[in-house]
Amino acid sequence: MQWTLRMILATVMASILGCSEDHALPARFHEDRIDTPEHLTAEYVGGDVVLQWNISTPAEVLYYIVTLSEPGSGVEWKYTAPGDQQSFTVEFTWTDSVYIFHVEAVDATDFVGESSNADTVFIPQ
Amino acid sequence: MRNLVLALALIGIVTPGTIQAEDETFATRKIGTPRAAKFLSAVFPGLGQLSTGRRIAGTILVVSEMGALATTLTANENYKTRLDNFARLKVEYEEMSAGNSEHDIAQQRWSELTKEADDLDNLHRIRRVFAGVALGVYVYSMLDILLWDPPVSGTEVSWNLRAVPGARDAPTRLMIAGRF
Repeated sequence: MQWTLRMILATVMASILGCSEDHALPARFHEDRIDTPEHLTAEYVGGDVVLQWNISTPAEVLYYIVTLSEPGSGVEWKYTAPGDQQSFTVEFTWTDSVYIFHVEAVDATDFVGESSNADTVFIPQ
Repeated sequence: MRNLVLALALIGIVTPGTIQAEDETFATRKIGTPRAAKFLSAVFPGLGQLSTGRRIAGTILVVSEMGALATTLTANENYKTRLDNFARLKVEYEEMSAGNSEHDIAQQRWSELTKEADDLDNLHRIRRVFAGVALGVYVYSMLDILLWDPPVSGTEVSWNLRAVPGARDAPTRLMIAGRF
């Protein structure tokens, strides 16, 4: 009887002591999935804002998402730019305000990559 | 005590019939034989030591084993609960690799995953350490009772039935007490 109890307890303890760590992290896919647009510049030219950026692997990009936000109101507008270009002209009804721009690349699986640096433009009226 | 109960009986809080059982031994049994001590220590560490009159050693072993087991089981339950959450987050993260998702959301899910993994690491460590402690206490208790200090004689235990007077509106209670 006591040997049975001892064996049961030893088995339970050994199972806990010897249990494996079954919480391994999965492969971290999102960092290298698609490159990030870099060196984004925004310039107010002739009533429009012209954006330019660089990306090291443009062939992987299906299209870009250009985001324009107005900090004062917190409102955002989004545009899509073709994947084979690294510039975009934003046509907008500007008001006397500061606007912030950033760009994200999207691949063929609709995965939206990391946001580029933001650039700010003040539009005087 | 007898005088107190008698006084309470006189003023009608307890009935005289309940007083008759006080301090009368109604059962006596010899425990603490070597065989019984080994069996009790096999059932739970420290019980064998307690049955042979080694109260301090027995109490330390019982409390240590209970604490280690409670910590192990609590950590084990927490681990299993957190593991379910980790598995859910992991599935969500892996599903994002198929596409139609965003880097920022994937990064947020990854941060949650790494935090869960760290917490699971800690819980896993806790349950292993305390399971080891529980096993060590068990082995020590058995070695203690089998090899180092085997019990040589039994201990007689007298069981008493006592009448315990209740408060003014509470009924009288009976208490069974074993004296080692």
